[in-house]
Amino acid sequence: MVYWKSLDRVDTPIREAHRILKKKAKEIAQTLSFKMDKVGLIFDNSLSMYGTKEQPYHPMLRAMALSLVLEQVSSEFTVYYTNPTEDSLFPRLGNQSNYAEPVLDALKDKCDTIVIVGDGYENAPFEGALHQLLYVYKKKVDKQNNLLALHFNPIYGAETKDARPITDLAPTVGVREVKGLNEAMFLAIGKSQPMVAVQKYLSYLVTLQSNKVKALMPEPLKKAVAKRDKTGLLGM
Amino acid sequence: MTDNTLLVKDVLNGYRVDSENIQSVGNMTVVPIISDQEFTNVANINEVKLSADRDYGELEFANHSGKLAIVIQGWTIIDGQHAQDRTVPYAQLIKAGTKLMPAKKGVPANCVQAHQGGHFNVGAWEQENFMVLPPSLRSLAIKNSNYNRAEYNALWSSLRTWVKTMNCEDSGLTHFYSKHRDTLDTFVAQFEPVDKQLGAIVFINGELVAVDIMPKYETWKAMWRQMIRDSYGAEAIRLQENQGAQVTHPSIDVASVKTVSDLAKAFKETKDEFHNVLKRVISTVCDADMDYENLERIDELSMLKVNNSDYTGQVVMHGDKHFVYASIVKSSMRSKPLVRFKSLRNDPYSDSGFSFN
Repeated sequence: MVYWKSLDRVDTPIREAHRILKKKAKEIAQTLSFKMDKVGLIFDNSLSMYGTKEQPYHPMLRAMALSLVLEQVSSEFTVYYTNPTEDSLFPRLGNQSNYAEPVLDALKDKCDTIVIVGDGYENAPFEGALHQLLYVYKKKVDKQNNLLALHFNPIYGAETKDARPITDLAPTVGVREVKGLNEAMFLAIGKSQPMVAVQKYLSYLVTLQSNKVKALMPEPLKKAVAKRDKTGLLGM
Repeated sequence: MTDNTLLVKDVLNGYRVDSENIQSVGNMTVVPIISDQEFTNVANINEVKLSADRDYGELEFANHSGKLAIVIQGWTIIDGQHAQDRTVPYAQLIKAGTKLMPAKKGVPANCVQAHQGGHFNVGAWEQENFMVLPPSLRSLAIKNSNYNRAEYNALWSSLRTWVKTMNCEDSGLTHFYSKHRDTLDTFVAQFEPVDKQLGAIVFINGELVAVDIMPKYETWKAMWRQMIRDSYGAEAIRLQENQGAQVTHPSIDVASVKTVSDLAKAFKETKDEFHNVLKRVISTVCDADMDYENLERIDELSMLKVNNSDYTGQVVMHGDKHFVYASIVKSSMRSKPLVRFKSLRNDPYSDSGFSFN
């Protein structure tokens, strides 16, 4: 993506480029230990996601990579941009950082997980609007606490020596690359629902170990276990 | 625009507020001014360079372009050289030059560092490192000097009391900027320029403190750091130190919310309430008469000084009614009772050539 973005013109047709990116995202998604249901990804495409002169567009590209991979582990997935963007390979960067309104759109669409990907500098319609919105939603509408809101920040905040948070109601984790998504997801969920995070992570570790053991089994036993997994019976 | 008076909305005629991109963080709100048309018949900001420093009360600028140039009001050099940091109290017009034969003009200057003598080695200074004075100092600079002449020490007594916690006469503005460097840098990340932006209306602590317009989209973009950090950001810090920060963001009315659609409605009302308050204040300022005085005319551009009891500044007029540059700033340095957002009614915005919808 960094290479494509650095070109003046991408010769690969957009559909083909999307297919290639999707294929890569699928490969990465296979290493992830979690699945999600109806996800709304809030994509900060304000100007501040440009990054630096030395690494232009890197925050935006990280956000894109996260979006592509998370789509693969979600049963339903919608991207909500903070600013209008045309249908091209890369989102257009510009204007303010309004997180509240796309989050509101995701709530209207009944998303049960909202993942905000942005630098955490909220400035429109005013700072703190997202916090107010989530606070009122959790207090008055989502009394069962079904909504999981997370914030993945692709930018290191020099002033906080960490990833800049956006609201306490959407725990923030710095994500520099998609390879760290398992840990990021664990940390983010752990900040709001520690027991759920531990449970999910333990289940992930058990699966990981179980797969390793399966790989070491002799062939007939492997087949028998595979059959058991399919039918629920040990076919020996 | 009649006799020697004009309205602020005359200056903003042909521009409009980008209400979808209003940004508000902490005690500062930036209302972007946009237009579909820019004025391109003027030099780029990087073609107007400081060319010599020979006199404490004067700086020489050179226009390297073939178009008229504007040296902006409050242009400031603060540098580590053993030289006196200076500012330009009045925006200036410089006639067209060429790359080989730039047009030069000596413009009046004020010192913003009392206890430091010496002149700048202009060649050793990165030209893009200029700064822009905060609105309150721009206002004082205009008040204490005039277009053709300035005493180098005209700002010293004002700097002494500009910030409660720091004597900027003794230590100079350089200490203010270095003390608050990290906070000032944050303003650059917190606020963002928007498409087709040519200027901004800026509120700090609930008061409208500045209306700035630049001729070109590129100029506004190129000056973003100077405006948001060095000018508005520094003013926000100063007012926070002097009066405490007044955050004026509204709250969502929780009582009426039971469903997501209730929440959407309540959220929209909150946003509208915030915008209506801004509209009301802008409308009041736009409808106020300002006296104007012609300072200079070169070819198609006229430099005017504008002034009323609350605001002062300079504007550049193209022809006889379109304004391509403005630096209109709140003229009172001492804080008057604040215009509190919550005390204002949501009156309709008056119809004018300047729109905020």
